[in-house]
Amino acid sequence: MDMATGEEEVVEAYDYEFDLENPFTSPADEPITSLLDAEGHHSPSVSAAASDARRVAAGFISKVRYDGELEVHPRVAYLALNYVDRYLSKRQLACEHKPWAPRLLAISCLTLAAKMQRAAAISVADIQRGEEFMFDEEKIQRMERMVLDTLEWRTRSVTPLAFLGFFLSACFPQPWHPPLLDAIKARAVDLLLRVQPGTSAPAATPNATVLPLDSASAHLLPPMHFAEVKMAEFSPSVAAAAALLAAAGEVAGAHLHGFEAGVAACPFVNSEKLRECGEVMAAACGVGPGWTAAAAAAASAETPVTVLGHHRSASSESERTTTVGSAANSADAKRRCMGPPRQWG
Amino acid sequence: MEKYEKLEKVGEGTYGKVYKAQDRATGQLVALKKTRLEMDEEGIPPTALREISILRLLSQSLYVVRLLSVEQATKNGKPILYLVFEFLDTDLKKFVDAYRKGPNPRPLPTNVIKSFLYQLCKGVAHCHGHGVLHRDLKPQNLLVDKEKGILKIADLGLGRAFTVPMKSYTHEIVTLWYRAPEVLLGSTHYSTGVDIWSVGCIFAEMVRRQALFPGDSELQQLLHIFRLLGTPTDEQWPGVTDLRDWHEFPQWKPQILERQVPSLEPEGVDLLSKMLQYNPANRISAKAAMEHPYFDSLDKSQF
Repeated sequence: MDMATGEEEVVEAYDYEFDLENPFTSPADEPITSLLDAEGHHSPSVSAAASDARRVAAGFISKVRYDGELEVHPRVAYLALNYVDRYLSKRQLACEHKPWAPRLLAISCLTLAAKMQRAAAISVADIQRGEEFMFDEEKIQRMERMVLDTLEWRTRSVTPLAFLGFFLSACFPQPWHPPLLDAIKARAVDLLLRVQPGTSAPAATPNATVLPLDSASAHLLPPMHFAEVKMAEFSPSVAAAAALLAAAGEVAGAHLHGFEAGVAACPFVNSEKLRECGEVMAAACGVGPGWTAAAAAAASAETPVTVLGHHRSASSESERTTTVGSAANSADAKRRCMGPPRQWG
Repeated sequence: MEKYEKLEKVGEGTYGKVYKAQDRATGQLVALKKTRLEMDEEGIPPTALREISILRLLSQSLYVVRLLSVEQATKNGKPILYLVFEFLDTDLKKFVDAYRKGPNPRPLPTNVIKSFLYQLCKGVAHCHGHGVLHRDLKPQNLLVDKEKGILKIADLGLGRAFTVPMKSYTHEIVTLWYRAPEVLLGSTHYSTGVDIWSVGCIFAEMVRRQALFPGDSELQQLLHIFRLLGTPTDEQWPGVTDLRDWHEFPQWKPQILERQVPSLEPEGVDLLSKMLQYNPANRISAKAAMEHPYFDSLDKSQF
C-alpha cells in the first residue's frame, strides 16, 4: 500500500472537520497549551507498557497490522494500541483466568480505532482468521462499551501525531517549501509508527517476552524492544519533536540546525528528554545522530511497504527473521498468552 | 439510569428528549439527553463515537457545557445512550427575549453584552484550538447562568450523529440566521470562519435584541446579508463566484454597519465588522478577537 495515497484518502475523508492530527491552522493559533494540558491524560503508564496483557494485545495488533491482506491502516493500529495502553493503565486484565482477554481487548480497540479514523470497518472475522476460536460481534461490542467506559469516551487520543503540524509551522526555519515539509512530516509519521511501544512485528525469541523495566538491563534488549518500553516514558509532544528532528536530519539536513534551534526555543520542550528520545529513536530505527548519510539514504529509499512493514534497523535484523503475520506468529502470540503463570508476574 | 431522578422534561431538543434531572447521590442538577442512537450490528456508530469524544475533549473548558458522563442503558433489549450534561437554567435566546418582550423592555446592559461576547470568543477559541468546529452556533445553543453571569457553548459537535440536515427532531426548521455566506454558497472547504460569522451575528443580536439576518430560506438568507454588507465581489473575496451555489445576484452597495447597531460603541462596531468579513481568510480569529480593544474595558481576570 502506498503510504502517501493512504494519507490523502484519510485527509479527504475528514472534509468538514479538521482533526487532532492536524489541529493547527496557523502558527499564530496557540492551542498548543490546551493540547499540552490534555496530553497527560492520554499517555499510558510505563508499568502498563510492560505488562504481559499488553504484550499479547500489542502482539495481536501488530500481527493484524503487518498482515498485507487485512489492509488495516497503520494509523488505526497506532490508535488501537494507544487505547490498549490507556485501558491497561486504568484496569487490570485478569489474564490467568481469561487468557483470551488481551486478544478481545485488542480486537475491540482495533474496531473502535477504525471507527474513529473513519477507516473502513474492520472485519472481525478476517482479523481472527487462524485463531483457535473466534469472538462473536456481541462479545466484541460489549468489550467496546467497556473500553469506552474505561476511557471515559476520551477516544480522541492526544498522540505525537497531533503535534507534528505545530512543530513544523512554529519551528521550521522559513522560507518553507511545502513538498519538503510534507516529506519531513511523512517520514516523522513513519518513524513514530515504527517506534510506538509494542508495535514491532512479533518475534519468536523467548527473551522477547520478558521486558525488564530498569534502564540498566534494558540496554541488553534488542533495540526495538528497548525502544518499546522506553518510548512510553516520553510525552507525545517530545516524541513528535524527536521524530521530526530525526526526519529532518534525513530529508532536509541543511535546515536541521535552524529547526533544532526553533524546537529548543519552545518553552515546553524539555531538551534533556528530547535528546534522550532522539537517542532511543536513533537506536531503534537507525536514524539521527551517528547514522551515516549512506545508510540514511538507503533507509529513505525503502519502499513504503518495507518501511512500514518488514524493515528494521540493521542491528536488530537477526531478530526479524520470522515471516510476519504467518500462522507461526499467531501461534506464538497465543502461546505467550496461554503460557505458564510465572510469565504473568 | 437509577443514578438520576428525572424532574421534568425541559425540551424536545434537536437531538431527542431533554430532561432536567438530579443525581440521587450528590443532588447535582443535570441535563439528561436521551439520544436516539441505535446500536446497530456494527455496535456503537462511528459518528456517535467521534462526536461524543469531541465533547469529552472540550469539556474541560468553563465556557463549554460539560459532558459529565455517558450512561449506557438498555431498553427493550436495545442499548441506549444517555448524555449527562451540567444543567443551566436558561439560554441566550430566552435571556435576550426577556429584555425585548418582558414587562420592562430595555437594552441589555453594555457590560453584559461585552462579558457574554468575551466568554463566547473564549469558548470558541477553545474549540478551534482543539481542531473542532461548532458549525451551529446560535443563541439557543448558548446556555446562560443568570446568577453568575456565565455563558457556555452547548450542543457541540453533535451535528451529524444526531440530526437530519434541515429538520430537527421536532420538525422545526433549523435556523439559517447565523450561517456564514460560504456555507450558504455551497463551499465544501469551510473552516473556523463559519463559527466567527455566527459569533458576529449573535453579537449584533445582543445589541439589537433582534436577529441581524433573519432569512427564511437559503436564498433569502444570502439576500439579507448582501443587502447590508453589499453583494460580494471577486476582488474582496477571491473565488466567491466559483462557489457551487453562486449565481447572478442583484448588485447591492454596502450599507453603514453602525446604523444596524446604533447603541454600540465604535470599538464594538469595528470588532463586529471584522467578524463579518466576506472572505473567511480575513475574518478575525476567536483568539485575536479576545485581544480586540473592545474588551479593554472588561476585567478579563474574572474569566
